[in-house]
Amino acid sequence: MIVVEKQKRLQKTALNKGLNWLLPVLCMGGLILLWEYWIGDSLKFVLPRPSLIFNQFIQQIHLLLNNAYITIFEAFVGLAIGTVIGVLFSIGFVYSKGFAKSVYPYALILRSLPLMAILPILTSLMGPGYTSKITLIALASFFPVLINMVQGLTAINKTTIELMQSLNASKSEIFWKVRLPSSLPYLFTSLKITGSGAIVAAIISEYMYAVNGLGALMVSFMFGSRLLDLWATLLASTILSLLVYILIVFLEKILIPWGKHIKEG
Amino acid sequence: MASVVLKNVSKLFIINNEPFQALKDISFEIGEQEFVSIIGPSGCGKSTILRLIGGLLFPDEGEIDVCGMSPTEARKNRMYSFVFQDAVLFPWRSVIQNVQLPMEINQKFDKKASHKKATELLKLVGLSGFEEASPNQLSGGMRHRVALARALMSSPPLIFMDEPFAALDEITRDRMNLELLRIWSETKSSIVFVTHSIEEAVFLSDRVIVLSTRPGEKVADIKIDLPRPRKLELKQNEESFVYSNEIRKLLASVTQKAAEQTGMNNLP
Repeated sequence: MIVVEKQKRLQKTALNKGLNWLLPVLCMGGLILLWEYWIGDSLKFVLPRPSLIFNQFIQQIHLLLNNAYITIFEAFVGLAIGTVIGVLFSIGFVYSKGFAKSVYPYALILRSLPLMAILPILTSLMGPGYTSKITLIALASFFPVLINMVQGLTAINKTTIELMQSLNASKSEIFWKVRLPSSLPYLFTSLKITGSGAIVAAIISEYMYAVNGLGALMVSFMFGSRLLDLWATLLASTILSLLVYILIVFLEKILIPWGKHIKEG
Repeated sequence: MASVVLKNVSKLFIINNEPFQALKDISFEIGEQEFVSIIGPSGCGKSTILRLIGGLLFPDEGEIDVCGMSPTEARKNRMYSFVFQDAVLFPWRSVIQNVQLPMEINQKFDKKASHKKATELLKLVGLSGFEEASPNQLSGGMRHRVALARALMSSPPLIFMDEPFAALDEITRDRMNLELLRIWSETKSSIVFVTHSIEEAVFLSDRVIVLSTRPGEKVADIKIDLPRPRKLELKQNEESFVYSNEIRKLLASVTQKAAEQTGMNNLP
């Protein structure tokens, strides 16, 4: 009897697991169907049917890809620069109180500045090319990386330090062997925020002064009243942003498989 | 020749701007290949003693000699290693890489020799076959075995253990006690073992040093004259009880005294 009960329970959990991914899929499918066959007709000129958007997306794929490359380039270079500077500053923060105290206010001001509002200033300083956009993205990525990395580099307990000291480890040995590896999960936490954020920031910065890129494409479609193309571009940016997130989660799993244990304990 | 000599060692801490006498006038010696436990009520400074001998803290008064040198020199020369209550294993390293950690610090890392030695030590602590496992896959007792293997990596003449098994359940703890004695008998190290378990101290040690609290003073240095190798049955043995009772009485009287003192201080 007990065995049968257990088997039933196991079957139930298997069913639950199936439902776990089936439910969101059904939910999303339902929403798209609803949009396609119900809202689609009444609001045709604001919300084109998903099938039409998708169709347009396929037809325009070359144009979208050619512009996406530029957006990706800006986002990745900006993200890389912002991350490297953020990591370097966090090391400075952890090892020098004076540095932390003198730099923190500026980091905070930078954080509080509406970044989109300084784009015109950056553009007038650096011209309308990639540099101003990359700088903006770097500035936007910098702060989350700094804050998370400071937390990560200091998140080691006293006993670990004592162990390293008892082994006569130098400060740099403690850094390379303990602080840096234990901060990596925190780096990825910040990358999950800044990664998709960088794509968004790139697109928005292209709204102003840009000839190429998904953002520039959106603006030209908007002024050309090409609603379907506009939606197709939106779909492309959403997919791009999602892909970046997935890439970062994937890298995290590959590079630091032990990461989740650090945050748990 | 004694491995460790403490002469009239005192240590003062400043906590919330108030001086706090952690240790007062502590003197004792630890011989070669001797197993000595330090026991006392919590807050008596027993862990502080280990950190003073290890050169992680410095005494305000008195002298400490470790294998004929100052604690700092002894640390630089790898005369001792620490085992803490927390196993402190790095999850980004495999078990064997954790054991090899001491070899990578401060010296040229001979990968082959170090790997060979680590494999042998893992065998000694009963973890053969777990070399490539992640520390996260191990149970509490196994994690402590890894920590012990890491401590043995530099073949130090001294091992300091700071309540190493305090977080383990009693069954695992008994096993670890036996294992520790077996491993110790195969090495030539002295062990200084801090614990707050009376039975554990009696079972493991050649000598038990009893400390009082506030300030931490040595109240007794008891030689445990029980035969080796020791077996678990010994814990039920009458002679063990005699030692345990003696220590228990001493600890009761020092905590009583400490309670009276704090009561006095609270009077208007």
